[in-house]
Amino acid sequence: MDTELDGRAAPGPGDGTPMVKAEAVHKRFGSLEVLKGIDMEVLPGQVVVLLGASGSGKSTFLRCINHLEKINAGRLWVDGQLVGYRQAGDKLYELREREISSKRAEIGMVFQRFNLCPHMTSLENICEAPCQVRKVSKDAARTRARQLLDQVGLVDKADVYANIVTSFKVWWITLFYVVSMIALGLHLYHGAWSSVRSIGASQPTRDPLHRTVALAVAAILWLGFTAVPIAVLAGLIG
Amino acid sequence: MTDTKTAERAQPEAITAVPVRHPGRWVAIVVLAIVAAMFVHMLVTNDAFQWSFMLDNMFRPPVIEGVRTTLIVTVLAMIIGVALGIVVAMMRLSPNPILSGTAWLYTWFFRAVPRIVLLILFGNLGILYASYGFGLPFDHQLGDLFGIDLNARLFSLDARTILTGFMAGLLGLALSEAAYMAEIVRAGMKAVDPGQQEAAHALGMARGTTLRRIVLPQAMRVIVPPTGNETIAMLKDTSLLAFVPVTNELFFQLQAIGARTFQVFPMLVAACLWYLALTSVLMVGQFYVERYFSKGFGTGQARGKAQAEAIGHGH
Repeated sequence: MDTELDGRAAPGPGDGTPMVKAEAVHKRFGSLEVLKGIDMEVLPGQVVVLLGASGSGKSTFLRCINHLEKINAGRLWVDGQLVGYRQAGDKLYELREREISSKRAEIGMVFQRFNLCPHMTSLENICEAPCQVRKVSKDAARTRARQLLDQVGLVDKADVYANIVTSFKVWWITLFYVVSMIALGLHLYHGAWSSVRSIGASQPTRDPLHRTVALAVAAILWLGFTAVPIAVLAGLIG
Repeated sequence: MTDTKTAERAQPEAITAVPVRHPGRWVAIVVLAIVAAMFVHMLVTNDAFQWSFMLDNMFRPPVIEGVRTTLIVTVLAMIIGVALGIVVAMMRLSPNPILSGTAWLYTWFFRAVPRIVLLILFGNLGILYASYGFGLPFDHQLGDLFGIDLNARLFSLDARTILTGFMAGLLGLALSEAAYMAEIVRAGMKAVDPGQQEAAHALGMARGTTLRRIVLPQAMRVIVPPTGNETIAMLKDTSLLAFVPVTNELFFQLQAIGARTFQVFPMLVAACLWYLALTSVLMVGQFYVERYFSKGFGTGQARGKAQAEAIGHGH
């Protein structure tokens, strides 16, 4: 991890508890040491972009925050709560699957390859998590999903299978899919640069940093629209 | 080239060219026609076929009863086989070595033993024990250990009542099918992009929900075609029940008529025709099921209209 760029956005509410706090986070895959002690803090309202060469561990770090990977050493907190463990005295207890799931539901994550379900329409993709995880009623979820799609002019793609929608649109749908779950207000964008690249030449600049920032800002503007205080972490694939 | 330009130009003459000749194909067609004619000639002129006798006998009540049994066994064996196969496949994919090892052992055994051997073995299970009890395992041994006369059997069943030919045959076919289905289901689940599971987990979906809502529906696309194959194979393998023996089964009934009347061959032909007819019906069903589960992959018609529009708007 070479550079960290702190963007500044309107300060979130909160009591100054960092949205993400990492202390000497280490992650190994077998003998390959990927994260060699990451320390960082992301405050509510901040946009942080992780830049680095391919294979430098940006994705791994994002995945650790969501507990898709277990860290080997160090400590990682999201909104003041330890990721994946519960601490009682000096002892760490692994969280049960259900507890991990409910914490993950608080964190929005957009994957580099989107990972939309090909067997569902865009609307069903957006409704899936709210209905299954939050137990939102099907009708309410569908109405909300239509509103979201309408905001970006994609409402005519609501009943189209997700793998038919072109990639820029996929990106928006994915964003909604995540946003529709939002509670805590932490967003992780994995491989944002690749996502931007798929948006194409309509972007004002070809500079990857600018484009990523532009993307993050666009995301925030849009999210601001939905009045959600957020922190954004974007992993950038160079 | 723009539309206006092509419109201005005169419509060119349609192409008229001498097509390539394929003499080899004509030779092949003539050979096939001669072979077909010989086959039909044999069917019509050879008296051993006894067509009228066959037609008289292939729809007799015991035969129809046999068709019913065959269909019931096929459906039941496939339901048990698929359900158990999914369980075995999930065990096989479990990170726990005991679970995956057990699943491997199960698949290994039931795939290694030929179905006919398995079925005859199940038909003779009554030799092992006269009755099968359900209750606390090892109750007599535990009782001996503590010096008490312990009998914790909730209920017992006589081997001859539960392991009739039908139950033994059904069990044999279902257990053997589960082993094959386990491999098919496992392949299907492995074919689903792991990113799908990851995204579902990232959204806070529990493992069970992820499996039910995200992984299995996508795996079905891979699982359904070979399962259709398995169902057709199962329908044919019910003829093995004749060796358990199951006496009210289609093949057994047709053979019985043949043996009784010394008209063996016509009844074998009748068996061919029956299995052909039943299998054809299943193939039609398979077509519709496959189409349903391939939704979202371009071939599905489930939401044809929306899909066609999307392609029409495609950028």
